[in-house]
Amino acid sequence: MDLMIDVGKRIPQPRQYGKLEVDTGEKVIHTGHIALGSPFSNTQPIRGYLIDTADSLVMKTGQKISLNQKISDISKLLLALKWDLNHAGSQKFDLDISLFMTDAANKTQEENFIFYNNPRSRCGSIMLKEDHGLCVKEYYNETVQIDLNRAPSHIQTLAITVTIDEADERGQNFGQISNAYLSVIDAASGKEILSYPFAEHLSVETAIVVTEIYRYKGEWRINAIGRGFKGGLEALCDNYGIETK
Amino acid sequence: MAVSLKKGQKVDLTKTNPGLKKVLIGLGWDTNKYDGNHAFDLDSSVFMLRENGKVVSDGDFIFYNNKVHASQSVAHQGDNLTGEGEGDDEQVKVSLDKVPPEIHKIAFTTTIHEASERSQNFGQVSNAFIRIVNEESNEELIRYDLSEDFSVETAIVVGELYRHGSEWKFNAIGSGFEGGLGALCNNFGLDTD
Repeated sequence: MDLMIDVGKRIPQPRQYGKLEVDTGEKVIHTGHIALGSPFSNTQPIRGYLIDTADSLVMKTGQKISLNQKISDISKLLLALKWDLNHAGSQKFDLDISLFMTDAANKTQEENFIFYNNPRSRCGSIMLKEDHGLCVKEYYNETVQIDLNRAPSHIQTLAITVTIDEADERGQNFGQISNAYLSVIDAASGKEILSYPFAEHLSVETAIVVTEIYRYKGEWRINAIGRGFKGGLEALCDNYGIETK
Repeated sequence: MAVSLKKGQKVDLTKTNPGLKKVLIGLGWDTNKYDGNHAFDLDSSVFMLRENGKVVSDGDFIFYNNKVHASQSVAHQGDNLTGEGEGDDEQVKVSLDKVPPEIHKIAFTTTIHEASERSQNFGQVSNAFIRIVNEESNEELIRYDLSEDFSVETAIVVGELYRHGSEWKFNAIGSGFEGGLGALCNNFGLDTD
C-alpha cells in the first residue's frame, strides 16, 4: 500500500536540538512514492545532529576493529541502520533485520536466532527495534539494542543480517538499495563510534551480513562485512548453522 | 608438535632441528563463502633478498610465472585458483643448503589477484596460515595463523626465513600493504610497470 505524496521543499529555518541550534538549510525531502512501511527518507537529520559523530570512524568493507580499543569498557551498543530504496515501484519492498548469536563452532541454537517473531534474546543482550532509551529509533529503518556484557560466554559471534522478504517472488535484490549505512553508537555516551556504508558492493544478494561482532582474546571486535547470498534467509541460516523448516 | 607463532615472533629453525635441509612452506586460506561476489584468487610469491632487504634481479622473484630460482633452492609448486579444500592451498619447497650465500632472507608473501577491481581484501579471507614442514620427515615445525592480523590489506608479507650466522631462523612478519603485488614489489626493490 503506497501513498503518492509530493512534499516539495522544506523552507529553511533554524532547528532546535536541545541546546544546539542548527540551520539545516533548504532540502528536497522526497518526491514520489513513499512506502508506508518505511516512512523515513534519508534526509532526516540524525547523524551529526541528534547523534554526535565527531569521533566516529568510517569502516571499509573487510575492516576489523576492536570495540574495546575505541571504548575500553564498552557494553551497551546501539546498531542503527538506514537505507534508501532506488525504486520502490508498485510492489512492497520489505527488509527485515535479524541477528544470529553463534557459538565457537559457528552454530546457532534456534532460540538464539533473533528476528521479528523472536525479537529479544533470553539473555537480554539483544533487543530488536529498541535503542537503550536514546529516543532515536524512529529516525532509522532498523535498530538493534545490544548489551555485550549480558551475552552468554559461549556466544562467540553476533551476526547482524538483513533480508528482503519475498525477494524472489517480487524480483528484488540488494542492488536496489542505496545510501545504506550502519551506525554503531555507544549508548553510554550517545556518540557514534563507527559507521559503515554496507551496501557498496552489493547487487544480486537477497540476504546480507552487515557486520559481525565477535570475541577475540578478551575483546569484542567488529568486522565490516557487507556481503551476502542470493538464497535469502535460508542461505543465511545455512551459513550460521541453523535448521529451517 | 609445531611451534605456534604470533605476529612479529622469531624462532630458530635449523638450530632446534639439526640437519634440516629441505623445508616445505605451506600457505592456506578460506575465501568466498558469499554470493554476488567475484571469485577470490590468492597468490603466494617469494622474494629472495640480499642483506639490504632488496632483490637484485627479476629472477629473485619467484611466483606462478617464474616458479624455480636459478639456484634450484626455491621451487613454487604452482597456483591454486580457488582456495578450496582443507590444508595448504599453495606450497613452496626450499632447499636451505642450496640457497646462494648472498641471499640473506627469503620472504613469503600472499596477494589477492585484482583485489581493487574486485573490491576484495584480507578482511574477507579467513583461517589464513603459513606453516613450515620438514619435507623429509613430514613433521610440521612452525605455524603462524594470521587471520586476525589483517583486514583492509591486499598484499601481505607472511613470514621470512633469514640467516642468523650459520643458522636459519623464521620471523612471523605479518605486515601488510593496501597496494597489492605492486606495493610488495616496490617494497622489495623490484620495479613494476
